[in-house]
Amino acid sequence: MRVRAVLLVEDDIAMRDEALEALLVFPRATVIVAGTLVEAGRLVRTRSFDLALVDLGLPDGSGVTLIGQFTSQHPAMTCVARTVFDDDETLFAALAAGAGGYLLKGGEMAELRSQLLAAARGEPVISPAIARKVLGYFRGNAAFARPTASASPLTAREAEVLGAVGRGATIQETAALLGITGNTAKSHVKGVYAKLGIRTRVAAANEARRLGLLHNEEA
Amino acid sequence: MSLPALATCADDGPVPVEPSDSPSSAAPAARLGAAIAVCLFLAAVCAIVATSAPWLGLRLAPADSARIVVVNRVHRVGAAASTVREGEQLLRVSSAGGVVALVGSDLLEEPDLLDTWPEMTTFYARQSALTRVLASGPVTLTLRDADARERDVVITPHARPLSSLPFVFWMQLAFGMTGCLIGVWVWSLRPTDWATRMYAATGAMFVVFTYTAAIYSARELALPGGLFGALDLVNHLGATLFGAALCGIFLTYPEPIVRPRVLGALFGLAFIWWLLDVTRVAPDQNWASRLPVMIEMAGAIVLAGVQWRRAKGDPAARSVLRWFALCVLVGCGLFVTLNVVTAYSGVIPVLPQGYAFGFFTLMYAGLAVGLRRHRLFDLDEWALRILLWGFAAVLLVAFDLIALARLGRTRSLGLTLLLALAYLPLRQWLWDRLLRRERIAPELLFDEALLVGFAGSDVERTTRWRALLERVFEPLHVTVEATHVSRVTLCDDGLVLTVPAVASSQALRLSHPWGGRRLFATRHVRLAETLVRLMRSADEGRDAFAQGVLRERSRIARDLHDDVSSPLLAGLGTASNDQVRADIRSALTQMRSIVTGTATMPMSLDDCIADIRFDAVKRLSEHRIAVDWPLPAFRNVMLDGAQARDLAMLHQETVTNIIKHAGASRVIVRISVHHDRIRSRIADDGIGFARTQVRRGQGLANLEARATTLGGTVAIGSDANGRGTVVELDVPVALTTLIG
Repeated sequence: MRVRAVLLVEDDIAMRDEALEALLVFPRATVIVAGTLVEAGRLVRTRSFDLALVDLGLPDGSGVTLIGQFTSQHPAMTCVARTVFDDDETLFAALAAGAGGYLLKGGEMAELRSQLLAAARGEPVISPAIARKVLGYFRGNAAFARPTASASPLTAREAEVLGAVGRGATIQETAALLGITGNTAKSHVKGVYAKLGIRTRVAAANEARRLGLLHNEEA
Repeated sequence: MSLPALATCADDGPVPVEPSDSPSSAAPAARLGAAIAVCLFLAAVCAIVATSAPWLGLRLAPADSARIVVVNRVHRVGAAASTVREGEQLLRVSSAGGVVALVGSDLLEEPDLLDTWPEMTTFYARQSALTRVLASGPVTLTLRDADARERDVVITPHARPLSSLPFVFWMQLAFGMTGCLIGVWVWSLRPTDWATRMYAATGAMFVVFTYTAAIYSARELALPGGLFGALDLVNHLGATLFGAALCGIFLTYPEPIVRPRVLGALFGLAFIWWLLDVTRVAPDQNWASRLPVMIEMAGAIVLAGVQWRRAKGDPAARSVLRWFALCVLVGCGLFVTLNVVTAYSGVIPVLPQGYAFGFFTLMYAGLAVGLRRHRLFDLDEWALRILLWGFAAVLLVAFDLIALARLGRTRSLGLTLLLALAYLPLRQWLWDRLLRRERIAPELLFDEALLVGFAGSDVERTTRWRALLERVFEPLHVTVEATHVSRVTLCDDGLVLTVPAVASSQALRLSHPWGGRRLFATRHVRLAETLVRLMRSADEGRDAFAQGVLRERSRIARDLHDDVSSPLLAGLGTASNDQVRADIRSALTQMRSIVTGTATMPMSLDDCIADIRFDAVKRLSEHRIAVDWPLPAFRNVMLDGAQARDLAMLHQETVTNIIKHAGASRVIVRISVHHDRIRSRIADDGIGFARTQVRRGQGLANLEARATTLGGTVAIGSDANGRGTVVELDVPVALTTLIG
């Protein structure tokens, strides 16, 4: 993907600098900066972006909500979450909302840049911990909202891909193990995240209905 | 070979019903039990027939090239005791029923050794005449001693006691029973498979020819000719059908190469040939009974060869076939060569036939021994438990019979007491052990389920859930069910129960409940449903708790973020010194592990190594370094979070060193566990240690320092050829293994 226009949503000045330095990896890109959810929402309505870097802890709410909106309204835009903590809950919420990657604040610059490039290429984020967590979630024993049984279960292939990654195989190795191409393996991972999004939304709606209220609560 | 019976349990199938009366709906142990009962009954019949003839109390043997008959042993309680001496020659027997002069061939173990029909007719006629003599009142034995003096002894034959039956009689019964039980056992576990049917058929036919041979080989001197002839024909029928079944095995195993109809034709052909034997249409014994057996043997060898060719390119199938064919063909081949072929070519067999039957048990014992390694008939070690149960049941019955026999003969109070005080409790204990009657009382089930539901970690919960199901249903075999299971379902006519995913476990498939002795019924489905429901509510309770923990953790995360990480991150932006930046990064990393909770939670060793491996392989392959590192498989071994983190850091450091300094193109990693120590060997093919000592000093010092604080060691050197670098980490860890 060509990155021409980038939306950076970040309230902290020092962290803006870090992000801007990392974004130099796209030398032709224009970067527009927003400091709040509201401001970012307004900007997205005025023009289109190829890439959005979204801080998850914004003054007026969680970046996860914003990523969810962006993904559903602008499918062509790649969203990358930025966070201080890479705990499973945070990552899970971001991935389920449709984030195509995440950057750890305070990371090594080289690593941040390579992660940005990977996200721009459309490579899904995956790690053994995430794979195991997602598998557990689809089996119906995650410490999140209980999913409804009927909502899109994993295919056998998807489960195999997650299973291999969960045991420590990289995507390339997983592909080799299962006799598929790397791209197929990656698209399985993306498919899983899409299902995850559907399920978490269904589960969240059920939960809200059960409690008789609608609230947004993210880690 | 595929597993046809194993993937038929449809999730949305009909509502579970009681097992139907279809032929496949018997618990394996019931079939095995029935086979045991039949074998024991037939053994009793054999013993009765074998002891029914009038008995002199002698063990006779042919001597002097089978021309004469000598007394080998005089039985203590027999009629001839104290009147006949061992070593004397028995010239003739006479009574009101006639006079018969004895010849060595009257004692033939097996009339099959005679070649022509007239010879056989004579033999049977002599047997009838001898029976008549022995059965008609007092019998006069004419004996000749070593000094060629002849004398007459008059004795009255009486009933033959069981204890006088020769050892070879019991051996033949035991051989027959062993073969039959192993055959039926395999079939009972895969009742619809033609290969196991053929295998069981060999076992059943084995009983037929060993039991009949046992009767006539155990005779003292004679059996009524008609009975003898009939037994011999039944023996031939058993042998030829055994051979047909043997060919049948290799026509269906490992791969079926003909339709079941062909198998029927095979048996039909064998039966027709047997009719030629019965009607004596065949020219002689060679044609009537020896030839078909040899043809069948040759056929089995050829068919094994055909199977071997078909398995070309499938080494697994070939290794199965190699073992199976070896057991079967060596077992049968030895017998056929030693007994049938020798008889065909007119040589007297070297080994009594009764013992030679033992060769056949090779083909049955070999199957049981090779089961685990080769998964013969797709059975595994678990299947052995049911066989063991069968043999234990036979042993118990045998012990009981011996005990009864002893008790019946004794008037001693002491022995009776001993029996009551020692044998009966021992027997009870054995029986309990075999049937494992420890059941969970219903009122305790709830407690047990709660213990599972609130177990500390996912892995522990999974293990305990499995253990609970195993205690409640005692299935021989539990596997993970790959397909989605939404509710407890009965499959395979009650042989299998599938249980949905619950308590962190995947869906499970329980087969052969109660050690294969019973089937699942509707009430068991209800019980399993209750358990699943309990687990689900425990899951919900635990989720609510986990949600609370999550909420609390995000509060802490927010606080840490606002109060601690912001200044750190700001410092990271401004600090100029690399060391300061590195310190700040490591502070952030520590903080992350506190927030994610990995610092305190126990973790499975597999997960820990998976994380380390994934990270390392990714980093190394970014630098075009190939990695050889098998996926971890330590199953259920747990270590605590802090140790997992230390282990990860040691590996990260090592990988960093390789990337920065080694100039390697390939890395080999092996991790092993030895008694609470984890050993990791990381070898690269880079420029080696010695030449880069100075530059790598810092990284290695870090590594050593870290390992030392963990109480471990780091050994660094080169490989055997002095090339590359080998880092060996050896770290003590507190591992716990969850009971599986």
